[in-house]
Amino acid sequence: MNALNKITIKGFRNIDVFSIDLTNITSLLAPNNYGKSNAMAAIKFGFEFIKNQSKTRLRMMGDQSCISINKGIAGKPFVFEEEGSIDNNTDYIYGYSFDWKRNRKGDKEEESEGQIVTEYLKVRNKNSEKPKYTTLINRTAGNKVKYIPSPTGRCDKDLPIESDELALNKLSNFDDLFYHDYVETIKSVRVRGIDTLSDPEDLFAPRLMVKNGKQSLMLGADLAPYLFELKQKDRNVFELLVSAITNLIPAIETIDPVVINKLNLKIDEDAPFELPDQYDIIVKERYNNQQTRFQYLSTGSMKLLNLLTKVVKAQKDGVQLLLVEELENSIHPRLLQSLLSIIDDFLGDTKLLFTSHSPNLAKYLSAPQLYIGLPSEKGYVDFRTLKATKVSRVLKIAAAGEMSLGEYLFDLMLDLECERDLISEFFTKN
Amino acid sequence: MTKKKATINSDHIKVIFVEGDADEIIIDKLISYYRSNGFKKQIKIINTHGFPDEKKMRQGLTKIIMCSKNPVEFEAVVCEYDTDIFAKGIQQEPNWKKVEKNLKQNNNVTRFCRIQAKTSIEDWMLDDLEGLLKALDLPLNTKPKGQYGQDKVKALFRRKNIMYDRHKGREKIKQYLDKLDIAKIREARKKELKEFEGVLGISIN
Repeated sequence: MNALNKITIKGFRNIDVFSIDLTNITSLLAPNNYGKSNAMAAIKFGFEFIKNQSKTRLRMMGDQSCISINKGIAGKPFVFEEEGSIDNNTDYIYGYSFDWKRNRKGDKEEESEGQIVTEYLKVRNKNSEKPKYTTLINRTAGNKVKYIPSPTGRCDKDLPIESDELALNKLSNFDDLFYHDYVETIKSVRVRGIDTLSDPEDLFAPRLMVKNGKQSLMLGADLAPYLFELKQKDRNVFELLVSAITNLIPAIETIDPVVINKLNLKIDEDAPFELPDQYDIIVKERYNNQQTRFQYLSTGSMKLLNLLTKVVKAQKDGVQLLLVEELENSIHPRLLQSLLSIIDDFLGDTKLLFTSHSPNLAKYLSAPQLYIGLPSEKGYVDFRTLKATKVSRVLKIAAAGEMSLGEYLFDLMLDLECERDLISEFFTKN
Repeated sequence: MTKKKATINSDHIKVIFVEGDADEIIIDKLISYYRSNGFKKQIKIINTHGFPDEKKMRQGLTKIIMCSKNPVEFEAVVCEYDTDIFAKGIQQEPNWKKVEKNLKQNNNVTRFCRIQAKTSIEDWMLDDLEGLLKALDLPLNTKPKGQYGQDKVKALFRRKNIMYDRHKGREKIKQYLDKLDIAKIREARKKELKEFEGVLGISIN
């Protein structure tokens, strides 16, 4: 599977520059109002922009919830760059930028349509003696795009394009392009969020959904039908998932996703839709004399089932990056080490980026996995990781305070407002 | 006849701190093995659910003191841990001499030693691979996949659709680990157990 290794974003809400190297599990650790959610939203926005149609892209370029109103960032373009590997041999860098739409009334000079300004795709063979990037697509001034048409050519062929179009999408129609597979792979990078913040009742509430033209009333929302399908199609993974849940919640003995469609109502042939299938998740707890519905269990139990099921689903769907806000939400600190280890096992090639307020999670992470929110005099989002050269020193300081690296950084983070000289000493530059 | 003057009896306690469920199961088996070979003293195993650093050991010892009716003397305190935690860059290896000195000075500890499971307790389990394969009902020619002991054991359990959880999997993994031949493991880990057995006064040929 292709992998996502690094993301850089500029010019989104209060993000001046946000850059993150992705390990299998990476965290954004910060106090409230330091921009964790904005960073997550920016990542989703950046990838959705690539996938969407021109009409939606136009709307996105004018989305007031995303345009920066920070004094130092307002007016700057949105800049997105992803680095990754397409296969075992090929690395890529793909990026684009656009100007946000401006529509201040009474000031015509300030009015402008959103438009894509730059775009580039570079690839390299990482196994060659001197791996060097070759530019395949280059857009430097709005509607002027150059690309390489053939393996022996140069990046000089013009590609006519609109200001709301991405060359990546246009070139994906060129089936005989020698790097068509690369274009398709980059276009299809999948980033998905898992909702851990909603009321867990919502995760299990009945919901009417349409799949393949059929309406289904789902008890257990999308969890129950997915688990039912998983049990039918991949029993090994289903059993492993149940094993993981029952490790974390030992009182649970069995978990059974079931279809409960007992209405058997007669309908005419010309009825507009079929009767809905209904699913639920039935659970047996050790001390109970009968099975019950999973949604009658605790908030934490429901959230654990939701989280791990979605991790499994993401891995099976070939998702490159999973985004989870406040992973520790409703979960007992004693379970967090196991939870991280179980998630790691289920992730496979999928990577996880999560936000957290918890030193109990941070203490299990190593330096490259910890991005710390730093205070900014300008109100910018500022996440950085430890300088590689400082890791052993900080580990030593942490040990002196009887802490792990993550616990120490969590503690330090809360004091950095007063100890700003430590920021440049310990942390990487953005 | 004169009555003997009553003396206050101290509790002489031996404690082993272990870092997770898997470690607890193996160390417990090891103690049972010693018992079957004549070792009679009581040993308390405390699972710290994470690396047993000095802070966790101090807290554990304090709890014992608080719960005891008599004054407590810690005849021996043993710290068991997997060495891989230091390689991962999550935690720095403590200054063990300092830890020992502090525990002896402040916590009434007479002897202190460590059991270093290299690189993790799962590597010990693999010393009886045949036993583990039998316990899991896997073919005896199964070659565990993975780079490290932990990966290999996880992969073996996964073949039976069991999530091997070394931190909190006691109920799931105990039935399998109980079937391991601890004598075989002890024989393979003699060097790592030498100091520990010396402290407990165990002598098995």
